[in-house]
Amino acid sequence: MKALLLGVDGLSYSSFMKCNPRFLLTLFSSTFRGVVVNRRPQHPASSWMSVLEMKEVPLSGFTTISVKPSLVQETGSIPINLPISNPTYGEISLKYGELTLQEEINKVTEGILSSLDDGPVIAGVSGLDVLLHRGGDKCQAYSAVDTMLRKLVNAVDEFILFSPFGEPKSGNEEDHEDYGIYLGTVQRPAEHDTVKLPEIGYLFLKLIKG
Amino acid sequence: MSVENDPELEALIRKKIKQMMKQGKDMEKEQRELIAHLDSSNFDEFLKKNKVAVVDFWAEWCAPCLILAPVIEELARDYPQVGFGKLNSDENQSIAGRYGVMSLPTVIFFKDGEPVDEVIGAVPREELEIRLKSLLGE
Repeated sequence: MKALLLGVDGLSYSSFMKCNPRFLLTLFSSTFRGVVVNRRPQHPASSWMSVLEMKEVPLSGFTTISVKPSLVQETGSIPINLPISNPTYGEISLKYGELTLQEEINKVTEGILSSLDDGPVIAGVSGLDVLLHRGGDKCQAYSAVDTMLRKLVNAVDEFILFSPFGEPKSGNEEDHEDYGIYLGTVQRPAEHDTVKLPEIGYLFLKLIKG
Repeated sequence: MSVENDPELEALIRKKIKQMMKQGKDMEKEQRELIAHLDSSNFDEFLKKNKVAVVDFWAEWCAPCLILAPVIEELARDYPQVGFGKLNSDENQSIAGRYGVMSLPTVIFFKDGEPVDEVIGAVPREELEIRLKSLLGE
């Protein structure tokens, strides 16, 4: 089974109507969905660590990772570009915010596609969040993410796509909408409830380990 | 003299920062007031105050509600003569029940305090606007 847990920081339902990302809208209407709640202030590192440790991790910035995060360890997953450290953590490790969104997407996509045969993959894309904090073209960025998702989702059997928080509300990197997205082939036990960050990690663990 | 030690420049920078912070606060205030956050304590008063009102019934877990939210914000900006509000159905079940709200999102249009039209689901702006215009007699 080819399985992927993919987090795209800053991806938000609130731009679906404005930017009309075709593939995301198809996923929205054809997969299990939910709303990730993560209230301000949010930092990519602690938000992601809450997923990867499957427990709430208090707000913190990038740190040095000396021990494999629990979810990576327990699922035997291949980590790619996870924004828990700077440079990012994993087989593909990039200086945070240095590449353009498209350059990051190209590297991450290539990394995921070449790793899927070796085991489950946990990957992150930070460029959308970084670009929106800097006031870049939103719909052009959504289009690039949409194209990436089409390629990746078509290459896997099971996936969870999430954003740990919504779009930036200002230039401050800890200021985003409280609501992120959850779309995936993995059904949640309580659909009429919001998705908590640790739950995402737990659902991926359950998908891989059964 | 270095830039750091230039008092005139420092004062200018401080003034500019103050200005920017004020602008930010004003924008936040405008955003807050654009759509009233309704609950049982202010719902009836809101309907009384606005001849034409639009209320977005939503819930945190409802993804289509989040898709629709910016459309409501846009309309609120473009139709300042209309009262726009949002009500969390989970936290205000008696009000949602009063208007028979069974699915989310539901947008109810009110005239003189009475519900006169409704739209269910995340729909494009045009679908809401056509109803709003007809209510306003445009």
